[in-house]
Amino acid sequence: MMDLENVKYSNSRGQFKIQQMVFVLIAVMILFGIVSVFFVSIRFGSLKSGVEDQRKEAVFEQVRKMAGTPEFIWTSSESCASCVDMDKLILLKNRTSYKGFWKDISLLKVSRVYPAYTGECTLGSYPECNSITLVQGDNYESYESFVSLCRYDGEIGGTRCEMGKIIMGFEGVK
Amino acid sequence: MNRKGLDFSFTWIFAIIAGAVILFSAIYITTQLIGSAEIERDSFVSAELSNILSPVETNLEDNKYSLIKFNLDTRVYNECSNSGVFGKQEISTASKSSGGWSDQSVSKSSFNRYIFSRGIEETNNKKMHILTNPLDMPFKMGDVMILHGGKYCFVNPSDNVEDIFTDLSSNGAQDIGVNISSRVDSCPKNYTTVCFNANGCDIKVITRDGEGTVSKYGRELIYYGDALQLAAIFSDPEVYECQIKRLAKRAGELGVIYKNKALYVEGSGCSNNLVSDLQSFVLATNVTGSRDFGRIAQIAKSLEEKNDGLGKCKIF
Repeated sequence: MMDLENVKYSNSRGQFKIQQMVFVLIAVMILFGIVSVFFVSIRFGSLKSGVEDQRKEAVFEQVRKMAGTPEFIWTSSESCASCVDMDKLILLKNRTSYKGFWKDISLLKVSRVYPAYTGECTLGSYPECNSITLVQGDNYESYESFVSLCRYDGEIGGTRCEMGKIIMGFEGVK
Repeated sequence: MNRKGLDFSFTWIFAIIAGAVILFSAIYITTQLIGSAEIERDSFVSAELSNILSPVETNLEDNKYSLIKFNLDTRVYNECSNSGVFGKQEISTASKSSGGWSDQSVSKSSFNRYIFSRGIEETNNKKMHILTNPLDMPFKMGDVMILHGGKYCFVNPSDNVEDIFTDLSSNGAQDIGVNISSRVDSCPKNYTTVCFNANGCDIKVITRDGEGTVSKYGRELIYYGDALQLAAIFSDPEVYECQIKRLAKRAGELGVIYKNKALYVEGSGCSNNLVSDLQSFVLATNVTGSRDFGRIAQIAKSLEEKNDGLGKCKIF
């Protein structure tokens, strides 16, 4: 009798230990899973903000430098680092070859600040119009930089420069 | 006693097996995360390098020098492609850690950048030198960006080239990775030697009136102007030829815009006779390599002379 009781007791204690161990292991696995999910979410969060910072940094630099690029720069009269050639831009606007040229940019636009005009420029309305849009996407944050917008003006028989700005936008990371 | 022993060992065997599974899973996942973290870090370096190259671009200035310091020894992979309207520039990186060189990162591409370097350019003491020269032929085509790890020795360069390096190094106060020497044997060991109009160096430059050839790795690269001369010295022949073709494509597109501008300005009462020359220029930009660049240079020279004489009606 004593032996049988002992065996019964020992058996249930062993089962209890196995169950305990299983629960502990499941708890460890769940904990490990939660920690992994937490780690991955933090990592992706920092990656997301890192990518966004990188893009913003790139756009800031590009806005500052855009006026000096071959397509934008005004070189017909005296050298001017922040002068944009409006004549070139209106002619470039309809060039399909430049589609996709400005990578990672969702908005690229040149607008006149003073004197104010209205409407988007076309070959018909130019130069009595307000802006030339080269890239127009959606979902962007925009950044601006003030520049001089220069063109040849037949009425005065020379160069006319007006106040304007380059507006550039980039897509946010979602 | 026996039963108790069996009970104890079963529990332990169960725990050891389950523990081993957990441990090996953890090690595997961690290894995977470290691997992807390395690629992620290198991809960030490529993106950062690409961003750094924006302020390095020139506006109206002649030449520019920039030094990039990396956190680790880094390899920059320079890949150039001619496909498409403007071709494509791709850069990626790999870094050296205790486990050796990491895998090549995700590349960052651009259509308006022209990086001249070896196919795989390695940092020297974690530093990379960047020389930027605008290419005006006759109008600004783009920036020639030269990326190099240093350790170059120029033997008797032309006055122009010597002046460029003297200016950029602030009269030698700053190390820009290039030593100027009057004799080959005065060059430090392990340096790539570059001889101008002489033999006995790793790279030989033949120069006459701002144009000539650069001979390296058994190949001859043709250049026009100081910017392309330096580009040919520091680049692998494949990279140089590819970037030349890309620059010519950009020049062609710009040529069309300037031709249309010449027509437009003529319509506004400002006569110029540049339309046909610009048309010839555009046709000449269809090049197969640096050898054909001479035709562009020749038309560019004549265009520049004509344009300079236009006064208020200048097109570029």
